[in-house]
Amino acid sequence: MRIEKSVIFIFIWTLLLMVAIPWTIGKVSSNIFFEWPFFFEVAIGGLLAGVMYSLVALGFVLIFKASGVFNFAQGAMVLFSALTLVGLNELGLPMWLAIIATLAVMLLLAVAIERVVLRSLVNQEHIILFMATIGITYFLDGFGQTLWGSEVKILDLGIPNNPGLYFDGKILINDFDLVAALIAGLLVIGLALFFQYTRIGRALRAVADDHQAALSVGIPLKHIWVIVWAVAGIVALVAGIMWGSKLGVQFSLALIALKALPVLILGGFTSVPGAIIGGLIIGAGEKLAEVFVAPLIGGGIEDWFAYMLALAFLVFRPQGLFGEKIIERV
Amino acid sequence: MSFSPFRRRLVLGTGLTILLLLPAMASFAGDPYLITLFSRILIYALAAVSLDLIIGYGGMVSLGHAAFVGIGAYVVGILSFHVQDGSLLLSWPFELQASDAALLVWPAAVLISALMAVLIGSVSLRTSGLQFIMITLAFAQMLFYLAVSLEAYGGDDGISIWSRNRLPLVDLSDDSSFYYICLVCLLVFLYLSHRLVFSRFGRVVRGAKQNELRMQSLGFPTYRYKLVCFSIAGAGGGLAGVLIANQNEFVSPGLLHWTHSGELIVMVLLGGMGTLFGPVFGAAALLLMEELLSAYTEHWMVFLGPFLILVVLFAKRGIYGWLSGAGGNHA
Repeated sequence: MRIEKSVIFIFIWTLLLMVAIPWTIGKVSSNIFFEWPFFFEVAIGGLLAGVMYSLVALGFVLIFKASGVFNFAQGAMVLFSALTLVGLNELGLPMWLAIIATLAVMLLLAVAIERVVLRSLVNQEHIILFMATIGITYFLDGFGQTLWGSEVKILDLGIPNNPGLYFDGKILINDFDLVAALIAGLLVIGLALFFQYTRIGRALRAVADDHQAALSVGIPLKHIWVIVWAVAGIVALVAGIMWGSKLGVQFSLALIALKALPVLILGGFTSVPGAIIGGLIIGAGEKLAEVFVAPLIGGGIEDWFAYMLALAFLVFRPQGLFGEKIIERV
Repeated sequence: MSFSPFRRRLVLGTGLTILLLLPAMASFAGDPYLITLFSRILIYALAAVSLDLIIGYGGMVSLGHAAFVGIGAYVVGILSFHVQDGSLLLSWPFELQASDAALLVWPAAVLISALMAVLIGSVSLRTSGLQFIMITLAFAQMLFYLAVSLEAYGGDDGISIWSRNRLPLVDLSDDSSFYYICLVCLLVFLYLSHRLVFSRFGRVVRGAKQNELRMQSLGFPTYRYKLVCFSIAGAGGGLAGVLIANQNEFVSPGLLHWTHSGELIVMVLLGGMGTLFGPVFGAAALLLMEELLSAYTEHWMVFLGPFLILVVLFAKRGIYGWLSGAGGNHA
């Protein structure tokens, strides 16, 4: 992949600002505490959260890359998979079996979506496909909650959830965040390799480029779509497990898709590395802003800071950091 | 395309007759709730029609239209808060008294919504397609969090409005006169939109939807045309917000939430994109469905989803297109 000079330029500036702004504020303002170990503690916490954002964003990118569909239902899929997992577990299945069963359900869902919805919409305008995914969203939200109930459920995988000290006891990091980030990171790397180097991965990219052209060179569109939606389902399940055991499995899980949107704007919709870097920048930026900037302006900045950041990037690069240049076809 | 003007007139005529006679029918049936329900339908129809202007004619799919509805509603809410409070709206740089006179508040709210639309549109329209969806959504989310953080105006809990705005000659607190005001607003907006769409301006915007580059090479500054179209839609959304605030006598950040924007898109889609009258049918369908189905299950969306997919698959001109016999292809 060729990286443009301006991307590196923007990236370095972002890093510099992320360090310089908290440092300056710490120097200038007396009521904001700034020390290097503390700064790194906040930054690392943010980066770990960022990996989880990347994971959700990745689900969007995969489907968009492979089918040109903005899958509005990604958040609903996260919720649905987590609900199914917890529900099956409550029915008495051991956790490992429940995970396998949920994977099977997500695969079935992918097949069903391809059969019922996508197949009839081949070569339609993207906006029509987008609308169809809104329908899928409503259905999944309602179906999952009808089936498994809408009260908050607890998901416990037995991952230790206590803060540990690292680097000579100077920096405090939550073990759960570390494990979650590790799993998410492995999944992201695995998927990136899969898309870049395998035959199926190449076929996926061909489909993304042009449905009809891909069909005409003999790429089986329907298989490809099932694969992508199944992979997106798996990504949704992993995200659902991680976020679900952090926040509890409930309706608000569907809203973490909102956390992924600034990541997508920032990183670009068509780029797996973009989703990763975007997630990291958003995660770290958000936490740093919350700790070092928010007290100055009265707090509560974490919710909308990500959007501000993404919009600021947008002014410089409408296609996102790693997105393909927007080319209007004539 | 099998298109019959007679059938179309019949559908529109029936719809209009039902809407005109509704308060009488409601009192005949002894169910005043119907008036409230249909006022809501009219208001959402107004918001959906304004969204259809940009989606159906301009090809700009905005997932942030609820922002303008929210802005309109918040203008009404904040002003009535100050009227109730007896405090000044602004004390610096000049003193400004709040008001609850509809003739003053409503145009102001619509104007502010339109201005915000210019602001948001001028950034968002630098992009198109998917990016545009995302960016309008991002703006709407930011405004949502802004509304949540307005501690002075109730924050998360919103503002209760003590009484509806005052309008000379008409008593808005009476539900059936309020209903007719909503109907008038909707009809006027529909008429204006109809004129707009078939004017030279409308043709340029529709041309830009089909092929922006060609319109540009013909010498039309499409960006400006689209921006104006976007702000007109924003104004329509703002008016809907004004009416919602007056109907519920309550304003909360929930109005700006993205699920709300999603619902508006669904209304446009159900009714028929690019049909102007369609979204009215779409709004009625969605709200009536919610009303009827939520009696059976809390998760009534489970039926809405498949219904929406069916519409996307089989009735691409939506309910209106299907009723008026103009279904089938996208034109």
